[in-house]
Amino acid sequence: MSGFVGAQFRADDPFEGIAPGSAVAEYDIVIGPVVRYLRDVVTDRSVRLLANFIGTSHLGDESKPDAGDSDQVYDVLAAVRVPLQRRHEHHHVKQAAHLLLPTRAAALAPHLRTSEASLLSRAWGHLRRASPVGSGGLIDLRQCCGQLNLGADFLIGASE
Amino acid sequence: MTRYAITVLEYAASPKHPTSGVLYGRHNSGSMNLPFAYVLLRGRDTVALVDTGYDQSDFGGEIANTIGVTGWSPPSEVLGAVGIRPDDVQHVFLTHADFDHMGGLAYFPNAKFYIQKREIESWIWALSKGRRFRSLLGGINPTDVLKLVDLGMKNRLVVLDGASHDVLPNIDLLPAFDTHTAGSQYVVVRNGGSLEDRWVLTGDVVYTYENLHGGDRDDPCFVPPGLATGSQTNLILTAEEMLAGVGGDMLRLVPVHEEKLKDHFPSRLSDRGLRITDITTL
Repeated sequence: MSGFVGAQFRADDPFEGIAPGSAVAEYDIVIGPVVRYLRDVVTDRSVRLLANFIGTSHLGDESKPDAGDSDQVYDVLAAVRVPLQRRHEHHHVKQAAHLLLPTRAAALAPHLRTSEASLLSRAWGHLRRASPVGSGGLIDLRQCCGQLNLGADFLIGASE
Repeated sequence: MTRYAITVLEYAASPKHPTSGVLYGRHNSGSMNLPFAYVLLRGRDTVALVDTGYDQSDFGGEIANTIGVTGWSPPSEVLGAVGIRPDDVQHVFLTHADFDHMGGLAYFPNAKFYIQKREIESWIWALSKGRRFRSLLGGINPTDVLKLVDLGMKNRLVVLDGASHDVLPNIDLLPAFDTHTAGSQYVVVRNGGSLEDRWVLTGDVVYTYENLHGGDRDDPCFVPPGLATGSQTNLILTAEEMLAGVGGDMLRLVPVHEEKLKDHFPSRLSDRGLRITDITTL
């Protein structure tokens, strides 16, 4: 997966209706790639966990989120100006980062004793509340699970 | 002979549920009240549950809101109305993984959960198919699958591969593959040696009695539920199998979305207005 800092914003990103230059718009633009990066992290790890659990699959894409981006996430979170309207969302971004990014979360330790599945489940919960402009609710594990190459149509008899 | 009291506990309802979601092909037929419930099994030393409901505070609650489910109550209140605490539940038989059946895993900290291997694998397969296949996933909360994995790692998950007889004394879990979902199962409670003592907890293979008679008791016709990711034909064939297992007595099948249970079995309303139906007592 590519680094979030270089992410390109598309015209269909959910910023419609927010005045350009406003504090909210600025926050959304800055934090959007962070949220997408965290989605990639939690998705990647969820997919690996599920693949290991069912034990009949392998990953079609062995790439991982760029480890160097973790520090950048913390840098952005520390630097971004959080408008009042986004405090709630920002709280959830920070919680998700704390759960998912071990390098700095290690200093806060308690989550390390949580199982991977439990941790990822909680991270999903935070991330779906963290999207700028409440863009649709669910963080889409479904979309990102497209990475899995299960070769498993037989599992539900689709090819029977 | 081990026997079980069977109680259907309503925990929410969809007051204006599209009839076409319950009865295949009944388009433009308006709406109906659809209770959401789980089933409590009580033996002399056993407390078991069939399905868990969902958690209003997580994504399951959002799914529920989008389809008009209202009046959700937590298991502490629903079970509390019959003198049971969620902590008391020792076993949970998961008929399938839809949010309203498997979304409440976390409410039962002392329970062991039973699900078909095929159900887990099929959902992970479906998750892997990408956005264009998301219509397959409308009924599940992806994080419930992660929670299932967590239970597996804690040795609290029993993954079944097909029919399992006597998972508890006189309780069988039987596959209903490729029906409502790919790996659905249903529960048979054998309270005695005869067919008259046998009960089938149908999961969503049968939503209501009308799925069994099609609205014409004199000339009954199977009409499968409208919502399924599997085969309508298999839904019908499994309903036939269930009926055969109880000597053809429709009232020995217990569909949890059936509002008319109260017309056939003793029932009452809890303080929160949720229906408690005693299918059989000890």
